Amino acid sequence: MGGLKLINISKKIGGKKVLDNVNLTIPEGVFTALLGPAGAGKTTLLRIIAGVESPDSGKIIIDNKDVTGLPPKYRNVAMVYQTFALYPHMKVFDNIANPLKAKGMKPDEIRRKVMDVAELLRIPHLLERYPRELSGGEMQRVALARAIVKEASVYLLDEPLTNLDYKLRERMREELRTMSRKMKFTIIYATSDPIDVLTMADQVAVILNGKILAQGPVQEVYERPCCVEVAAALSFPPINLIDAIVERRNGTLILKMPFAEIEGTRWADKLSTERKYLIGIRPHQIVLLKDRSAEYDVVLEAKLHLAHVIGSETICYISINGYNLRILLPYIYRMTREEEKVFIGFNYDNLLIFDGQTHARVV
Amino acid sequence: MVAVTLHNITHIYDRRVKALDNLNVEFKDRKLSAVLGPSGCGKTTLLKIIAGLLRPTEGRVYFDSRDVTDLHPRDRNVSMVFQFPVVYVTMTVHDNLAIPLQARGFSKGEIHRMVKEVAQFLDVEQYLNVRAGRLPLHIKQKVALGRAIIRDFDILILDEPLTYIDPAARLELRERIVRIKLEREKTMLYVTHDQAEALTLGDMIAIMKDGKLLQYSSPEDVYYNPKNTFVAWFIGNPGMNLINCEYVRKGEKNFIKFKDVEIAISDQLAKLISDRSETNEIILGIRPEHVRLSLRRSPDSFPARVELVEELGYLTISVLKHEDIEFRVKSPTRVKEGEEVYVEFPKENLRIFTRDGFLIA
Repeated sequence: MGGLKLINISKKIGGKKVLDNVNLTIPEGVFTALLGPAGAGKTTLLRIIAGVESPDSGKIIIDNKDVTGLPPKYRNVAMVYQTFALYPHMKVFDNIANPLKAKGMKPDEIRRKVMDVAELLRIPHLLERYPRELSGGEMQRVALARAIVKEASVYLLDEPLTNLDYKLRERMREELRTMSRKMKFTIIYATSDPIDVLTMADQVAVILNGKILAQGPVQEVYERPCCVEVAAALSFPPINLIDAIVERRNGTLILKMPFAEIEGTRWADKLSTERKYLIGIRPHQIVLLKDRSAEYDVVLEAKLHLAHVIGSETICYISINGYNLRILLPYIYRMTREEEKVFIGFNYDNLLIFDGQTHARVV
Repeated sequence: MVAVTLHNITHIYDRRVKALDNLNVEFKDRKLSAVLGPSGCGKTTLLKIIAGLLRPTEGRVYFDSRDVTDLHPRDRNVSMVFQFPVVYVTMTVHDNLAIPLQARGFSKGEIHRMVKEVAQFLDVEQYLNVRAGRLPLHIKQKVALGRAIIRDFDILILDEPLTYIDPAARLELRERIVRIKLEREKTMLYVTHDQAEALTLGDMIAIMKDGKLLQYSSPEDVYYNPKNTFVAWFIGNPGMNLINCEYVRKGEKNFIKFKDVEIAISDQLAKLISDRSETNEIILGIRPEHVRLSLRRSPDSFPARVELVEELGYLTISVLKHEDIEFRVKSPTRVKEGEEVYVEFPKENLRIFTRDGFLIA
């Protein structure tokens, strides 16, 4: 079986540890997202896979072959950058054909391959243009075409959608996903946007400070994050994290948050009165209510500060006794006055409970 | 209290590039109007004309009934905030905020009090004695905003003020802008290419494309009753589904039809279609979040195949196909790629457009 394997990769740049013993397995034909904030080590990792940078230690295996010492051109890896990196003096056709010419392919074969890829990315009409005559979305397609035409074993995409406007991003996500499915490409897609991961990827690896914190099928990592950092990275809008402690009162367990206390006997075997906790609740799992009389485990009064409409949904910023929370409503909601009084509700089943010190998930 | 009226405004740069094309609009008094459109649609040209920084090639600008077309910017009482914060880098935040007041002859004590009040409102009090050049971009933008609102103004113009601001800091600025809107009750114009900003902040939304105004109405109206297919597609993530259809009459009954799917419509809607469309060829519009998705058949449903699934975590966007007709659905129902599902287009959520893209109903 082909694919990509990274074994114990470490790298220091200027005395700073950028990658710390990274182990990653990416099966052939799988779209893997590498999710992490700026500075997490994503780009360095991609550069090491591509061979433009070498690791201090560790191995890179592509298609069962150790390529650690090989220069980039022998690795059969293609990379697409955030900034497109097209040759400005070459027409689109020549930009795409360039990697094939470098391989010494015959002109008519090059022509056929470029046309096939142009067809796939719906850009045949752009082939005779120069990069400066293209829109951002068109440039991104050309950059992708140039990568795909190489027929690489692994495609490395470094935040390729960041510079596109939202309508284009919407369309490119759909196209990238469709194409990767159809062509069974092995893709590593570096991004800091959880929506990119959720919409496109089969598998995700969450990276922070040079370490891989979690790796697995997207839905699994999303639903059962191993720690606070993974839950925070893979949540849109960002997950609410609430400080809590546990108290025992007359035989019942009470989970004490800054703004409310909830009964927690159900978690009795997992929680201790000795420790502090962080309670995670995703914004879409909190609902906005008209009054208290609703069927939710917990109903609280809150102040609404800002209703941020994002297309057909609304992110509401609310506070309870000065404690800020985000909630996501699957509809358009508009504020009628400042600091509107509202009620919110949520269920016990939707709570993720993390240890306050180790940040590991306990519930 | 000033309504801004643009009458037959056309603007041509260098005698050849038409940035605005016979634009007519009355921006409502005491409301925040968001001006939304893709880059190059003429938004910024429009603002410059209102502020007086640019004289239109043709047309007149009115503030209420007053023709201000020939008025100098400084006599228009318009405050502006730009994409990049404009601050005097060598001056302290205090002095930056004080400038508009000094020019208007306030006493030292008054200036001090007003600066403090604005600084408090924007949460920049701790920087009052710091030189503005040393501050991060989002604090500079707060100072620029403070300078715009510290004096009494008739109109506040904001030209993509959050574009270069770090996402984490954007939220706070957005909240302040909402508060200015609610507390000051002034006419505000807010230019943006971001629909979320427009829908969040705008009491009214003006959607522009190619130098033309396509629609000026409430965010709800823009969302539910887009005047044309561009607005329908541009607003929403993803935008409205648009499907070519035919209007057919069978005996006493009226339908709209695509492929083998027939959707019964009221006589009233049928009349609107025959009055407003020259042909039976029309476009059906339905928002992805309004499509009903089910794994079981119901009387009004038709089958479709799931081509692609995109998870959002809180909802799922799926691309469905009925024969070669493709449309998108946004729903909490989990579906799998390749699965056969049943779909219903609820009548109350249908929008009908002419084939050239204008809303019929």
